[in-house]
Amino acid sequence: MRKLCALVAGLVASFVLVAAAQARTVEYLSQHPVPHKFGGGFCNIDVPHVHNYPPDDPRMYRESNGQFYFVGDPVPFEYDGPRYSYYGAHPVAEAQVRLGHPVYCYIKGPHYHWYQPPPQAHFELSGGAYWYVGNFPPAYYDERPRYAVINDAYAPLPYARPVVDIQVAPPMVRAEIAIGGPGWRASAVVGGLPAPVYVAPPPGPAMQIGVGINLGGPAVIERGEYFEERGHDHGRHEGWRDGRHEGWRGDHGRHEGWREHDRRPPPTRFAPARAPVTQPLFHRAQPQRPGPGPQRPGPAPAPMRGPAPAPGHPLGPPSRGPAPRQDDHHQDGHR
Amino acid sequence: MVLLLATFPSCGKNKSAPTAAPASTAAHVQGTPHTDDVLNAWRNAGLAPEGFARVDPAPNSAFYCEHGVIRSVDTLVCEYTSEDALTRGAQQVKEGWARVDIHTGVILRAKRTTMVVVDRERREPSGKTISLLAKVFGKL
Repeated sequence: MRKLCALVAGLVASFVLVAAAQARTVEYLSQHPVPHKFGGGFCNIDVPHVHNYPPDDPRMYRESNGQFYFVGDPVPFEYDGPRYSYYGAHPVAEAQVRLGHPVYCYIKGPHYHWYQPPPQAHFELSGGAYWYVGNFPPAYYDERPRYAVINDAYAPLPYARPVVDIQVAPPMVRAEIAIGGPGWRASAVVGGLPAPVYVAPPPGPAMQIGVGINLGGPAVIERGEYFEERGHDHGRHEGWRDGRHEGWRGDHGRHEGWREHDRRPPPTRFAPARAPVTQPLFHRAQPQRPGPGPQRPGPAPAPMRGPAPAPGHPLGPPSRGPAPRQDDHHQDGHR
Repeated sequence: MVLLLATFPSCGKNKSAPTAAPASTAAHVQGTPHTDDVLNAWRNAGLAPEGFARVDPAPNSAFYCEHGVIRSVDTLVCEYTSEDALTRGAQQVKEGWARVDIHTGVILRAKRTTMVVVDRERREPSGKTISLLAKVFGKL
């Protein structure tokens, strides 16, 4: 009996040791969402700490030496702390301090963070959001293909993005609004669900943006001067431009309609030297024509002015041309 | 002992209870925030430290430690006499976390005083108490 107890105790000890050996910790350098399987919600600890779980979605993090920093929008994860609105890509000063190298947020369009930009940074508060108006270094563009997938991560998350009045956007970034905000150009395509969002240049100098709500239907709300998002635009303000819109229904998020500048180099303000921009960054569409533009079907054909068909001949509708002569009628082969 | 307290706070508390004694000024480390200062700062911030008592730190580690509970989160405050000792103590704590399944662990320092907070049973998944503890501690 004593041997049996010793054996059981040994087995239990072995299991404990194995379990202990398998336990692991993951270090976080910031607040972050809690994975659903660990209860969900948001961890508000804003100092370095450890958990026994890895990030739920690594696309929302920067990782360095096994340490994770959350660079996403905390609002969809039951975050209830202070929040500040941003529009477009921007540097993340806090992450740079903690990770030791420059870090950029690549979320397109309006989004939230828990931090304000540092006073010395090149941000402008306008229209209810912070806009980065400084220059992006080459590293920003180098890393963008890798980290822009964060927009895919947020695509299926239904939550209210901030309301941003782009009418008063900083002039130097206004031209980029239609393509996601500062730091984005038309080649930055993200996938994901169809985005019921479009940008419609109205007549005159003002830009007009309409936003749809992707909560059950492809409803589109168009507003004259105010930009409002109640659903999620997935950061893809990719709809109307240059009068063409090839639709966000059934295109599986590609929205490849109106990007005639897709392979254009970065805008001038992102490069220290003059950028080889050969065309205007922003084109105004025809007044009140947010629909298809250059590639829309051509004009209706002019009214027919040919000879009228002979009575009883099913050639088509009557025309307004001159009355056919008798010999013309005969030339038609109807003798 | 610090390691055990970090990973098995309840065991540490039980062991330390018989030897707990009122902290005297001579037992603290000069030139760094004393444990009493830390606890008072937390009290002033609306937190309520409960059951804090002196515990015996591991050899060649902390000079003075107290363990208690704040809003059901196990908390350990230690004072170190040197940077090397603090580094060793912090390393022991982190190694203990790696061996034992804890939900949340935080270790911070203010000069040569550390606070260690461990949530083993996910009593505070939002981390708001821990965040407040850290914020107050960081101002010392």
